[in-house]
Amino acid sequence: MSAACLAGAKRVIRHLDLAEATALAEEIQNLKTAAEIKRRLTDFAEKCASKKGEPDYV
Amino acid sequence: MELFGKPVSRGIVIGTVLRYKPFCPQLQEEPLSAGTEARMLERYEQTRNKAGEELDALEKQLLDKAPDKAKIVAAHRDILLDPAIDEEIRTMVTGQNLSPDSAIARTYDTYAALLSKSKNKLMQERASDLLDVKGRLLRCWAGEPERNLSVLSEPVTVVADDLYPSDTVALDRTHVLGIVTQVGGATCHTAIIARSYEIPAVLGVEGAMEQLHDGQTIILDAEAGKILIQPSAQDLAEYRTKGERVAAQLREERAYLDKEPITQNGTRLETCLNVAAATAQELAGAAYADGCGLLRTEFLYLNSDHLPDEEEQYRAYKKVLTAFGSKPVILRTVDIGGDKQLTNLELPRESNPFLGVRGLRLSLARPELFRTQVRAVLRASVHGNLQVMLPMVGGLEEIREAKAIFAQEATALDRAGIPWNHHIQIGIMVEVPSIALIADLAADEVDFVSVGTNDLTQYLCAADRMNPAVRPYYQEYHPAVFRILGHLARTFSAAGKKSVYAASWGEILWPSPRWWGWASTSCP
Repeated sequence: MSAACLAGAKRVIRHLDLAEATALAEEIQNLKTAAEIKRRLTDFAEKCASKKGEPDYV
Repeated sequence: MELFGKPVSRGIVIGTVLRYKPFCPQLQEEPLSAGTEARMLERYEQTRNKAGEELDALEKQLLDKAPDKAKIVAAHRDILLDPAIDEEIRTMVTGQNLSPDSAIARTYDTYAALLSKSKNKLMQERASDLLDVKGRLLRCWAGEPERNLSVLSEPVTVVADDLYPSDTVALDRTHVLGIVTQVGGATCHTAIIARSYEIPAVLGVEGAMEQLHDGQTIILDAEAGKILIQPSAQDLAEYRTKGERVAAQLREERAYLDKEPITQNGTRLETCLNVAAATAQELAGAAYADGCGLLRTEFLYLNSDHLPDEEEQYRAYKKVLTAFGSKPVILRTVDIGGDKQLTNLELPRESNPFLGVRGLRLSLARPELFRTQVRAVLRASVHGNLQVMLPMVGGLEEIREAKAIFAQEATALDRAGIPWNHHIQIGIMVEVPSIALIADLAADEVDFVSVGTNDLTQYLCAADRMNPAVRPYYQEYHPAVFRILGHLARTFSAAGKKSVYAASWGEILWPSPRWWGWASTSCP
């Protein structure tokens, strides 16, 4: 259900370092192939997903 | 070998195939031989009793675990025992020499057609109940055993052409690991049921019934929208690990539903929800979202045997708006055509429907359909913060034409003294590259932009995403996709207009558009 996806989105956001993500976005704008972009985004998504526990900053 | 489709409910499962083919009746059209009426009526009575016994057993089975579904079964028994319907069938057999199976079909079809034309929504819904009972009677008449998904002896992945409400009403949730269908998409009944039951599902898989066989082991990857046939030992090991990881992730994520979407740096990112139907299941997340970034309105057209009138649409939109309160709801005008064909509207056959009359093109080609939706949208706008999005826009002329129709209908409502929200915003969904390349001109015409990467990628790469032969050319990570995303967000931001990224099921791209400046993301 959509609520499950919303929960997943919030989890990623709460573990997200926006500065790191923005730097990645700039880097990706300069990548030349789909394979390179997929690899960088997949690595980043897996890194976000592997962060454990609830952050205590909010 | 791999098959591809649309992922509509998350997860990865490995299971054996159960091909589900509902009974297809062959009616006897020839008149009865003289003197056989009494024997035929006796057989009809036995058929009716058998159908009644099946419904009794099903109701008993559902009473504890699904009382709501048990009520539906009880309603089916009431229909079966209806004396007026029974009398009509018997009269057709004795008076017109019709075989009872033909009499059953004609009688139930007549009543169902009458109910489906009713203005009362509840009466309309009873039409599908009548057709369900008809199907049960005709199957019992043919002496065929019940084929349903309510009682399964082992875990299976169900493969079907399509699943109907009657197939899913008593779905054995403990044994259905996954769902694959040949037709359907994010808005269809099966998708909504799969999401509400949290069963991984990939729909719209062409050739699934031909390629997949009972008992065959397959991997259903509803994260990527693919089915792996005859997987190797290495595939099985890899996907078992992936599946466990996704399942653990989904379990952990549930705790985040009521949290604020704030990054580690303290930035709050607007996070909305896509909605594909005006049902309690689809609206369950409304309280936890910042709004609805994409209200797909196709459900009113696709899951029905008639085109929705203004009142039916108004009620559905009002229900969604009420669920979201004062939060924004972006309603996409009907996006039919392409892979979404209607049974209740004759559309010309096209050699390439994805490049044909779909989305706003269809709305402008059939203004009577569009005007009905526009009036319903405008009337519903007083019940919340409604915004309108136009799909499949290629140029400024289409935007202007659509806006003119909105203006005309709004003026007519004003004249009739019917209230509507005069601050309603109109935006576009960018799927066609031509409008993306003139984003600066489009930004002068509309209030916001939205994008869905599935269709945009398909048109940018000139590759049908459902065609395995060109799969390597359909590149959702193509640099052009990211350049367009960045270009759109920057252009609309510079014009002081909002941008909303409407994510699709199965993409892992979804958090990244924010980094290119998209103001809001909507979850599938």
